[in-house]
Amino acid sequence: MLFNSFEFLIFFPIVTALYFLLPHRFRWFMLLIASVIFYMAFIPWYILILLITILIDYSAGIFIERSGGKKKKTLLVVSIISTCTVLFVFKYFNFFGTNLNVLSNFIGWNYSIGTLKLILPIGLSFHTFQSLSYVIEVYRGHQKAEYHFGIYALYVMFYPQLVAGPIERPQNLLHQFYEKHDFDYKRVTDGLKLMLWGLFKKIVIADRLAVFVSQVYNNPTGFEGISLITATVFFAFQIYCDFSGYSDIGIGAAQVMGFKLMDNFKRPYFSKSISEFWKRWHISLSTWFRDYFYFSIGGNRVSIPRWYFNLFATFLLSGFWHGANWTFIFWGALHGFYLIFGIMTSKIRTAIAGSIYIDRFPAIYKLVRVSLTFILVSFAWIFFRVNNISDAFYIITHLHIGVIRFTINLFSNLTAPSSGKLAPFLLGQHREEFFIAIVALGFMEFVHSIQRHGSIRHMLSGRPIWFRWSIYYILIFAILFFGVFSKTPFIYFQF
Amino acid sequence: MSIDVKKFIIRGLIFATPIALFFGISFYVLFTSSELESWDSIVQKWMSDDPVQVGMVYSTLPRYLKLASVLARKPDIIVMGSSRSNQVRAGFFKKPDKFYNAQIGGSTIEDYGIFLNKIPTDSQPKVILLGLHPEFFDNSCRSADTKTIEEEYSQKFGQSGSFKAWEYGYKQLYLDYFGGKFKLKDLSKLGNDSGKIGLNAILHNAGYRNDGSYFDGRVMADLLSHPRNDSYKDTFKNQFFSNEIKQTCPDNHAYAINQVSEFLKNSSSRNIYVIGFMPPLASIINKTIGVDKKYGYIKNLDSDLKPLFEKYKFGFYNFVDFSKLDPEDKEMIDPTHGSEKTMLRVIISMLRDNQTLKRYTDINYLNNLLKSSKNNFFVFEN
Repeated sequence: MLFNSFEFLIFFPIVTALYFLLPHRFRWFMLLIASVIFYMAFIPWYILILLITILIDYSAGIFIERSGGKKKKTLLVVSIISTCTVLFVFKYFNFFGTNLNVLSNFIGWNYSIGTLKLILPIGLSFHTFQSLSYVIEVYRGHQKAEYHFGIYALYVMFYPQLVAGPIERPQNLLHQFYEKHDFDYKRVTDGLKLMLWGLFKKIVIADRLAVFVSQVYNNPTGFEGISLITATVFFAFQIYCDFSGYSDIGIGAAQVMGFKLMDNFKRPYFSKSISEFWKRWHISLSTWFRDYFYFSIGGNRVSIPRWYFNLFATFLLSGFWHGANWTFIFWGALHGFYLIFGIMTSKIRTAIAGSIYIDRFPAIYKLVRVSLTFILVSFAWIFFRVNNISDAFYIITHLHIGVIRFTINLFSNLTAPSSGKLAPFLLGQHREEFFIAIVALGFMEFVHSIQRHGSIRHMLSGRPIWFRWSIYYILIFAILFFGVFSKTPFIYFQF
Repeated sequence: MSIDVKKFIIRGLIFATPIALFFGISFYVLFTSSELESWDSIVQKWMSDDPVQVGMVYSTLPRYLKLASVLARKPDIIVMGSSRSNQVRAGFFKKPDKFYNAQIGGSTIEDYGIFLNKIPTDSQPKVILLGLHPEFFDNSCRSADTKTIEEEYSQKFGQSGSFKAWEYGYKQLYLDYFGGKFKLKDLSKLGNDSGKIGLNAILHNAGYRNDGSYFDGRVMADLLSHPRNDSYKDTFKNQFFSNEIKQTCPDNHAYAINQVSEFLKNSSSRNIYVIGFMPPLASIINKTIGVDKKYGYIKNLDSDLKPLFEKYKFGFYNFVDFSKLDPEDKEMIDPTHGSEKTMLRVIISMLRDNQTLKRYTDINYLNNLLKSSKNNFFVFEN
């Protein structure tokens, strides 16, 4: 079930009402059933795959807690391998098979491996990682094993974060299922406001930008220069609005019922460096890799070359987590390279900033750093969005074509009619569509700039009711009038 | 009930009122205008003896409806083609209930094959009058998305159109209102006539008739009340040539020719007789494009298409040059759309040498119809 669907519009109020109407002891069961229904709306029988993962890690948690020494470690390894096998079969088998075939042909071996015709279960990477975090935390002694099978199943399946995160930690979520959440007006309305904001980002911005982006990225060879740059920048915002929109709706839906999920995004495009970007983008995943992979292989408490290796390996794995395709591996590798290069050149960059005195103008210095980080991140998104590596190389090698000529033309005759000038930005779409997208983006960035000074919901709460309600109506009617209701799935569902 | 819950319910109700009004008004208009009428119900109403005009604004209906009507009616003779064929009437034939005009406005060359493949052999017509609109042979006019066309025919089959119309119509209605497409006072016409389905039919007397032909009341009323003078020539030229992209064609139209060829092969294998015809262009336009090389392809189409039809012993007629029958374009609705009377002349012309068509109608009867027409455009009262 998609958050941006009519079905969810019915599902959510019913589940929420039932949650508050039922006695506390029945709530977990109702939420579990609701989550099962939510998941089965995609491909019903895939619930069995989820059940296997749940059974493996539920049992593993209990056995790990009861064991010690080598046996404990063996159980952890067995549990991780078992859980990851499901992920491998559905997500990575064909990738490995295809590449193995290519390799065997290349070296002249007569070897061939078949492909599996399987549809990737929705959100498999998310709930696999959530399950893994449970067994690892139990192994590390940070979390007691959960003996209540229903509650554990709910931990993995809790519908607001089931298919696209945030990837929760057991310490944060499990105990909340035992706590009684009364109806709290402020909390409920705050949750609803967050959901509204998420819907706005998804339906008005992301799905509108998707039309522009698809036009170019589905056939990049038909475009060059400004059009490729526009599509790439639009994709940067599309993926942010799509994914953070999903997170906001999920976190908001959980908040309405009294659950606090972790933040997943903190205005990432305002980051001044790539390392800061990763502290603000998909936080639940980046902290997962940090806590369970990067630290496990030594983190930065090793020699410098090894530290660089650890960083690179973490981002390579993060790229691979996103998809079984070389494009994602390149994307991860590029971010790994950015980070290592950033660390290596940190002192030089600071010295350059000092020598040209830009650091004496903090606002300008910050703007430059934020802009450069955004450019680097957007450049990396090319690999994330393309259908194959050759498309990526076409785009990269054609980004610059005609840009100077276009810029000169743009400014040489400012009084000329603007429709022709705008053509490379429009990507074959109507001018009105373009302006709606730009205005909506501008509005979002305006809200983001206010959020730098604190929670916008907190700020709004001090304003008169007519003001607050006007804002909510504007958002609702913007969704109704300018939303794209094509039920476009959230990008991260594919992971 | 706690104070918080009460507060939430009361404030929620107050807050939701404008939103409920927003949806309520659009629902009322869409419901009373029958825009939410289920598609299957429309097909049934069309089959009744009572005249029913379907002019829905908020559904992409014609593809589904035309196919569903063919399947429900099992006609002997159907028209396929674009809006240029939409004035062929059931009354032109001996058994009107065995005729259906399955033309689809805005159709593409791909429609032919998809449409025919969706008709099972037990429902297939014996004769297809195939309108070959020159635009179909223009690359820039070709649909790149056959999947969408397929979906319009098949995915929505058996489903009610109501929800789709509602999903699209609730906001579009307001945009249309603010865009000046209708006024509040127009809404007083809602629900007055059970023979009108859809806002276009109710407000503008425009829509598909029971026999599948199309009637645009606004345009026709305007034509009848303002007799044409010589300035029509410039108007027609402006209308035709302003749509430059769709009226010029590169030489390479092999793809479209191949589509027609495949269609004819398929029809032949199913024992369906096809009569191809290129619909009339206004004489003033035909004269103008005759000296413009850009439009040479329209002339060449005749020699490209004729052999295809001859191969299967099918009929083929080229009416692009209609100057002998209507030299002053008196009967043309616009540069590319002939009127009911124009299409009657087309059928009469074909009847002269087409033995198959003669089984379905009578030339004397049609000539009498032509003589008895009361104006330049209509043959029938309705």
